[in-house]
Amino acid sequence: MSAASTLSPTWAHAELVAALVAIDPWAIGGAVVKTRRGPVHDTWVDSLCALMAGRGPVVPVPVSTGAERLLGEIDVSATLAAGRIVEADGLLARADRGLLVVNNTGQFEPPFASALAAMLDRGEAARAAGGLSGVVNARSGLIVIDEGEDDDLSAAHRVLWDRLALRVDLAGLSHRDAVGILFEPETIEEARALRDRVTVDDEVVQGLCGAALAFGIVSGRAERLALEVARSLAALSGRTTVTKEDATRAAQLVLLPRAEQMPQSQSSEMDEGEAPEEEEVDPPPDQEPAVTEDQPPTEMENEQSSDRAPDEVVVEALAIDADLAALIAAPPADVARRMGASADGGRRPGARVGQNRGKPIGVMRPRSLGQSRLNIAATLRAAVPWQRLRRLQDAADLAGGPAQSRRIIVHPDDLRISRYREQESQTIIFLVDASGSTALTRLAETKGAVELLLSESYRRRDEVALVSFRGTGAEILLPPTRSLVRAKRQLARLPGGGGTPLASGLLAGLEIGVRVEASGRRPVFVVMSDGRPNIDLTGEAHRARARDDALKAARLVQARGWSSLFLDVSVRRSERGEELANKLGARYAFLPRPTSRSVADSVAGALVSASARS
Amino acid sequence: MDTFEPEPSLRSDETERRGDHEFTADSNPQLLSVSRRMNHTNKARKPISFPFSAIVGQDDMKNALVLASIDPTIGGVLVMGDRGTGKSTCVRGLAAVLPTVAIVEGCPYACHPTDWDQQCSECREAPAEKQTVRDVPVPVVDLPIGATEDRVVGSLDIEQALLFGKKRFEPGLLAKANRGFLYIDEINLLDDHLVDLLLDVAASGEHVVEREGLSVRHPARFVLIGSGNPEEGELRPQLLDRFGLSVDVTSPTDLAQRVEAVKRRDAFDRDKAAFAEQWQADETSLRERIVTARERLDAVEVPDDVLEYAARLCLAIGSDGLRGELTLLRSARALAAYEGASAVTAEMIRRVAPMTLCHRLRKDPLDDTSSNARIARVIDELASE
Repeated sequence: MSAASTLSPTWAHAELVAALVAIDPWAIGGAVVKTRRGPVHDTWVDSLCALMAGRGPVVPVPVSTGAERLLGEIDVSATLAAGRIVEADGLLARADRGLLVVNNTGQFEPPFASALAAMLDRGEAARAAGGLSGVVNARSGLIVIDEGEDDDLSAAHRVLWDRLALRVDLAGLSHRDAVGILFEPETIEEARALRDRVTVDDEVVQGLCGAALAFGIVSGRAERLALEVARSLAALSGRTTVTKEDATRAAQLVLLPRAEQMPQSQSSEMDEGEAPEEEEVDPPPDQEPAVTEDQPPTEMENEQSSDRAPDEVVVEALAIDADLAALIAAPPADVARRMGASADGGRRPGARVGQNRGKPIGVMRPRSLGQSRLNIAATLRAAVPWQRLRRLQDAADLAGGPAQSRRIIVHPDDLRISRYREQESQTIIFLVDASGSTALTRLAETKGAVELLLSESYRRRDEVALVSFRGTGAEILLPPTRSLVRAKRQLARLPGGGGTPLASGLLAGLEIGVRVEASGRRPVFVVMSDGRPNIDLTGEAHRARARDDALKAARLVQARGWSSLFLDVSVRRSERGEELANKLGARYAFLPRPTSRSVADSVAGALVSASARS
Repeated sequence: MDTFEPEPSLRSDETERRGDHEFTADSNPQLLSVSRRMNHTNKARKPISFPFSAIVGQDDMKNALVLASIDPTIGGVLVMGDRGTGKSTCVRGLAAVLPTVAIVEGCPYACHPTDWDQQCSECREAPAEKQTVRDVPVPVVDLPIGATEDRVVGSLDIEQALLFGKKRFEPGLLAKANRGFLYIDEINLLDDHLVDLLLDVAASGEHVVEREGLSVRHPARFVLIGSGNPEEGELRPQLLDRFGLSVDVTSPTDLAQRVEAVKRRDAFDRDKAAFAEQWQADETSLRERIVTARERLDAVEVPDDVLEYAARLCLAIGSDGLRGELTLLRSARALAAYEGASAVTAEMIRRVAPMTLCHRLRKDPLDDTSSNARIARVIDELASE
C-alpha cells in the first residue's frame, strides 16, 4: 500500500474496503457506501471495477428495480415471438460471482431486500411472482450506494445492512482526496488465490466473539463477517494465518460500526494495560438530564452492565485491549456519530434537523411506481383463451394461412397493468413539547399512548413516530415504526426540560411527514403543546420571534393538507392554542391533564375522521 | 366458454414428446389436466444445509420444530427473534434430518402411495400397479414475501394453453409443500390475506382452487413455519393464535456458545461435505428418534389427572378457546413420544406450556411482563395450590 503523504485516511479506508470486497465479494457480503453522485463516487466505483477484473461482473442495479427484475422475468418480445414463455435472466443471475451495485435513494421494497438477503445468506433466492416460480442461484456481493441523508433505516434496509460486512463514508471527501486506486489488481488476484488457505486459530475467533459481545451486538452474523474480513486481510498481506492485527482490524471494520454500546470499564482495564497515552477518552456524549424508565432495554445490555466478563475475556483472549481502547478513544468520525446516537439508547439524527432549519424542506423524489407497468403474465393469461378464435378470425380476414399461427395474438383489451394497492396505512407523527417542568410526565404519557396505539393498530398497520422539542431544537426520539418492541426499546429514556422551540419541532415533524408521504403512507400530525413557544428557529430565546416562526412553520405543515390534531396541554384554555391549531389546519382538543388513554383516544378519534374523509 | 378444449390429435403427440403425464380423461371433460412440469427453470440443485444437530443452543426453537415434525397436527411454528439468530438455518436443517417420504412418482402433489385420504384425484383413480413409488427428501418450500397469489395457489399454465390449447393447472407453492414444510421468512411482512390463506389451507390439509376457469382440489398437508423479527412489526393477534407453537429466539450472550457457533459455521463454510459427514452420526440418531416417536405417538396415553391439569393451566393463564388446550396436549404427547415415555406427565405439560400458549395470551401493551414469565407465574401458583 503506497501512500502519498497527503493521502486522506478516509480514502485509504475506502480503497481498503474496495480491495476486501473484490477479494471475495460473497463471503463478506459487501459494503454500504455513503456518498452522493459525483467524482468521488465515480472514482471509487471505478477502482472497485478495476479490482474486480478477473473475479466477476459488476452489475449496476438501477433505481426503482423491483424484485422481479432481480430474480428474472418473462422476456416480452421473445415470448411474443416464440409463442411460449421465454425468460430473461434476472440481475442476480447476471451478477453471479461478481457484484451488484444498488443505488439506494429512498426506500427498498421488502421483497427486493428479501431476495438480496436470501442470495447473500445461501446463494439462492426463491421467486414466486411475475408468472415464474423456482429458485435462482447466485453468489455475488452487494454494494449499496447510500445517498440517503438520514440514519433511520427502514426494516428492509436493516435486513440488508446486517449482511454487509463493511461501511464507508465518502460524504466528507473532496474530489481532490479521491486519488484513485491504491491496490494493484495483481495484489488482489494473489490474495484471492491465497484466501482459501488462510487458517484462523481459536484465539482469534474468541477475540472476535468477545468483542462482538462487548459491543452489545446481537446479530451472530457480525462476528462471522468479521472473521471472513480478517481472512481477506491476512490474504491481502500475503499471509496464510490470521494474526491478532488482522483480527483487530477486522473488529474495527466490521464490529465497531455495529456497536450498540461501548465496553464497560475500559479505563480500569487500561490502567493495567500498556497504552497509557490513550487516556483522552471523550466523556460519554450527550449527558442530558434523562428519565430512565425501569425497564432494561434488552437482556444483552442488562447482562453487560451487571457483568463485565465479556470485556475481560476480550482482553485475555486476544490482548487487543490496547487497540480496542485506542479504537474507542478515537473512533472514525462516522462511527463516533453513530455511537453518540446509540450509546444512550436511541437513534438521534436530531442535529441534522437543525442544519435544515428555516428553509422549506426539499421534496423527495417521487416513486417511479406511479407509472403503470405492463404485467406480462396477466396479459398473456387474458389473451390465451381467445387464441384459437383469433387465429381463425385472422385466417378468415387475411387468408394469411397458418404461417403466423404460432404467435400470440394480443388485443388491446388483453393488456393488464400492475396495480399498486393504495396504502391506506398511516403514520402518526407525534410532536411533543418536552419543555418545562411537566415535560417528563407528558412524555411518559405520550409514550404510553404510542404503545397503546401500536398495539391497537395491528389491523390497520399504522406506524407511529415521535419527535420531541425542547431546549433549542427538536429530536426524533422514535423514527416511524409499527413495532411495539422497537418503540419500547427506543423510548426507554426520555429527556425533558428547557425552552419551547415549537417551530423547530414542527419542521422536524414536517420532514418526517414528507418522507412518510413519499413512501406511500399517509402522515397524521399530532402536536402536543401548550402553544407557547419561546425559542425561535435559530435557537434563541425570543418569545415574539418564536411565535412568528411557529406560525410560519404551522402554515407549511397546513399546506401539505395532512390531517392533524392539536392537543392543547396548557393548564387553562387559551386562544393561543386555538390559533395555532387553526394555522396548522388541525383539529383542536383541550387536554390539560393528558393520560396515555386520553391521548390515544383523541388520536384514534382523529384517525377515524381522517379515514372517513378520504 | 370452451374455446380451448384440447384438440385430440395435438394432445397425444405433443404430450408424448414432452414426456408428461396426461390426465385429461376423455370420459370426463370437466377433469382438468395438471402440469407435471414444475419449476421448469433452475432445477434446484439441493445444497447441503447446515446440520440441525450442529446448531449451538436455541433449544426452544429446535424442540418446537422437532415436536411439530413428530405430530404435524400440532400446527405451524412461529419463530420470532433478532436478526442473525439462525432461524432460517434451523428450519432448513430440520428438513434434512427428517426421514424421506414415499411418493407417487410424477405426481405434482407428491401423493402418498397408499393412503387414499391423502391422494389427489388422479392418484386415486390410477391403478396401483401402474404407479412407481419413490423416496424423496421432505420438501421445504420457500415462500418469498414478494410472492403473488397465482404462484402460491397455482394458476392456468399459460404455456400449455398457448402451445397446445390445453387447459392445464400449473400447481403453486401450496402443492409443492404437500407433505413437507412451507417456510416464510419475514412472515410479518407478508400480506395478511396470504397469511390467512396459508393458515386456512394448512388447517384443512386440502387446497381448493377456483380461478381463471379452473376448478381444482388437491391435498396440501404441510407444516407452516414462519419467522420474523419483531422489530419490523408484529403479526396480527388473529394470525398469531393460529400457529400451534411460537418461540422467541435471541442470540446467545454466552461467549463460549457464540465462539462455538462461529467455529462450526466457519468449518461448514470451508468444507460443507466434510462437516456434514462429521455430524452424520448425530443426524442419524436424531432421525431415528423422530421416526420412533412418530410410531409410538398414538400409543402415548394422557391420564385423566394430566388432562385436568392442562385444562386448569389454560384456564388460569386465560388463553382463549380450545385451540390452546388441544395444542398443549398434542405437544406434550409428542414430547412424551420423543422421550420414550408411555404417558404424558404434568411435568411435560409444563415444559411445552410456554411455546404452546405464550402467543395466545391477551397482551397489555403497558405491561412489560413477558408472556413466558406470566406462564411461569401461573404454573407456580397452580403448584402451590
